[in-house]
Amino acid sequence: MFLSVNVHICAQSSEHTVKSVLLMKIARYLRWPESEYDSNTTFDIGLIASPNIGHELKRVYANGHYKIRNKPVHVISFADTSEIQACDALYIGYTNSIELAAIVKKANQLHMLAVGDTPGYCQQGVHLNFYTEQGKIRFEINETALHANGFIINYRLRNIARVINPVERSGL
Amino acid sequence: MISASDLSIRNKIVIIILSVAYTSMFVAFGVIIIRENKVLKEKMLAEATMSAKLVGEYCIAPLDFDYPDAARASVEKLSSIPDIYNGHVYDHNGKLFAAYNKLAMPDSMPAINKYKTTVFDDKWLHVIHPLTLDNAHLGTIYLRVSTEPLRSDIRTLIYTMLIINLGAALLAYILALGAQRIVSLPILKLAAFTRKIRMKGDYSLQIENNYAQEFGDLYTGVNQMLKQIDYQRKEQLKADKELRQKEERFRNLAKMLPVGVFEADLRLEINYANNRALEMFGYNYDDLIKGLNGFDLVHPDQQEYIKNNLKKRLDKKLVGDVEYKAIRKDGSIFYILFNMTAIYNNSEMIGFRGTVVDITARRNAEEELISTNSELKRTTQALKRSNAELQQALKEASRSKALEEANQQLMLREKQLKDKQVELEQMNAALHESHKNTQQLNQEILAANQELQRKNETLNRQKKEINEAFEQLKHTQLQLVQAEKMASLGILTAGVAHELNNPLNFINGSAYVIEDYIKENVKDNKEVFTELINNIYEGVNRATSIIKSLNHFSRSSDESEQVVDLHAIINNCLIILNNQIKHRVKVVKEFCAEKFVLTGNDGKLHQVFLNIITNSVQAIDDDGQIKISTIFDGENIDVKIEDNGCGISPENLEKIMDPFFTTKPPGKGTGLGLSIAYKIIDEHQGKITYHSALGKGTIVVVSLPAS
Repeated sequence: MFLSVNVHICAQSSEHTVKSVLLMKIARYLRWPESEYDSNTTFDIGLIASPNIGHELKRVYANGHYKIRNKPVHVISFADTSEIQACDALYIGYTNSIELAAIVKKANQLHMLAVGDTPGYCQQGVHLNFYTEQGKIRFEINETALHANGFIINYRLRNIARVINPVERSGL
Repeated sequence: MISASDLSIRNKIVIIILSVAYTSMFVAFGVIIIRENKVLKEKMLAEATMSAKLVGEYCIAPLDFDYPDAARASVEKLSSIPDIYNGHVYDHNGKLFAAYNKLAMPDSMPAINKYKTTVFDDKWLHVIHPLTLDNAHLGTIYLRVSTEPLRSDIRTLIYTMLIINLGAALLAYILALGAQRIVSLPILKLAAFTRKIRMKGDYSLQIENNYAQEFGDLYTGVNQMLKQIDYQRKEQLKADKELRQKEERFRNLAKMLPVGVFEADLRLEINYANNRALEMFGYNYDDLIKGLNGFDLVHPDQQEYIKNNLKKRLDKKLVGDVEYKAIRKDGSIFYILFNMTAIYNNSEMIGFRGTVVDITARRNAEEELISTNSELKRTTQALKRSNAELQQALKEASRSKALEEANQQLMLREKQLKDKQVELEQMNAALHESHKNTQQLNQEILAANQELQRKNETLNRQKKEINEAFEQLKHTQLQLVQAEKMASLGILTAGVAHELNNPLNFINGSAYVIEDYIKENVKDNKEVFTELINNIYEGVNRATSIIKSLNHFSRSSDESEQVVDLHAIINNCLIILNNQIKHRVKVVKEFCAEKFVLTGNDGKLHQVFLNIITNSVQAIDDDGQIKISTIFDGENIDVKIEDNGCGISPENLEKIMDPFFTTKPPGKGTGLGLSIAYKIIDEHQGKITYHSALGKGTIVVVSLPAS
């Protein structure tokens, strides 16, 4: 039992490491909306609803070796929705749909990239959501939500991501 | 084998034209093919590179996120381009990430390891394009593109060009045939004509000229050349005939000559001799034809001599006539006089031509003459002896008396003549000496005269300089006298004015006190006192005016830029002269309305008008009038002073401006006044004019430029 827990923890840790690194890569294909927060010297990732990735995010970006948008990463944990402050990204743990709606609303208000790893989150307005397919970690984007929140998506990212709620483009 | 020179001109022209045309065509063909090949290759490369970039662009994110399926899907889109047979995407480690293969790769080695850069080989174009994101190398895309379409295009181009070239070559051949006809026909015609002339030898023929330009010129040139050849040929024939006639004539003459004539080569082998020469040596023409050498005809004793002479002639040294001892054919000896000259052919000596005269008879005559001469000498000596004897006899005869007297008379006469001659020679020498002295004297007089002229000129110059210096001195003296006078006058007037001012002040002050006293204390005869007091004031005022006027004259300033008032100056002068004027002369002033103000020297201008007015006053003996009027015409100010005094005679009027000229009695004038006035007015760029009539009066006009 102890071994199995350990393996589970290791497997989970590897998955979260991959997600942490993928977050850095995805950021290269996204342009954040202009806000006062751009002048911040760190790339702040907020944690809400106690996501499991929190510990791994802190570990991966702890020594400043990895940077997102050329900034060292700072991970902040928020106890509840009311505490959420302006960050670059907000990683959302598992929560109910009512709470999620409130968090997404807050994220949109503060022009944060809302990230999650729970199935169905993208459909509920989360911008970026990790999922597993054939043992590999993939991601999906809510193009309309991103677009509405002022994010610009590189066509290369759009080409490999699963697009939820794609933006309707008028043919000229 | 036929060489190019064996070909006819027709063929040569055709070959030349075709060579040029074909060479040009093939060069152009080659250039077009090479250029087209390059253009097509560049086009193909650009298209393939563009495809690699496009597909590679869609493989960047799959490489970054390790999505080989997405990369494969992008690479497989290359299947829509038929010429691309393989498309491989390699990750940054060179490991195959995704691939599209329409045709299997020929070897197992990954293309990324085989081809480092884009390259063409025989049948394929291998395109290598790096895939990067934010300067990070993510991988490489490789495309293998068939060059078959390119080669097919080139082949088509070559076939097309070949067909065009063949057509052009055929056309060039046809044109060359036509061109050769145009060019070769006149030449062939000319060749046929020259052949005809050669066969007939008739240079009077002319070729018909129907051409223009170069062939026309050529035909005209040939015809002119033929005319010249024909003319020269005729002239040559004529000259040859004349030459032959001359040669015949000279040959006949040579035959008839009493002198032997011959011609020989440089070894003295005789190749021509006239009859006389052959006869002289006892030979005939047969002997000559067989061969005769000049050396064999001379006596063996003289072989060296003739050789030396021959050498001299070869060295072109003058030899002249030479006598030789000669041998006849029969061996008999005789004497000849020999002369010869060199024969040249184009400045090269080829032989000798000479004459031979048999002088045996002359030699004999000479020997006989020598003998006769000896006899004559002997006879002469005998005659000399007889003559001496005769002389002796004559001397004895001359000793007779008569002869002696005559001789003495003759000697006397001779002596007289000699004396006369000596005398004449002495006279001549004296005359010559006298003439020489006269010439020397003349030269001395001339030199003295020139020296005198120079001294005279120097004296004249010095005299002129002395006169000028004298004039200058006179002026200087005048100025000195005037300056001294003015200085003395200035000191005097200044002193007098100063000394008078004080008592005048006493008088004036006292008058004021007396006036006040009278006003307050005196009741009776107040009007009388008041009039008396006013008289005192009037007297003091007049005395003050005189002193002020005197002050103007005492100023000795040389400044010429003072502002002066002419009317004030005239008034001052009248105040000064008031003593001489009053009760005697009536002064009428007609001053113009404008106030005359000009720049000048105040003191000097006072002096001018004082002099002029003084002259006018002194010109009036008893009663008279002086009228002073001023006129301003916009540029000049004229002051006209006219009196009705005694006037000036015309002869004096010319001199009044001269220094020291005066008609006044001693003590009344120095003669300098008007001279100084004239000079002052001249300094002020003005002028003075005088009009006077004796017994009627004088008008003086002083004209000064306004400021």
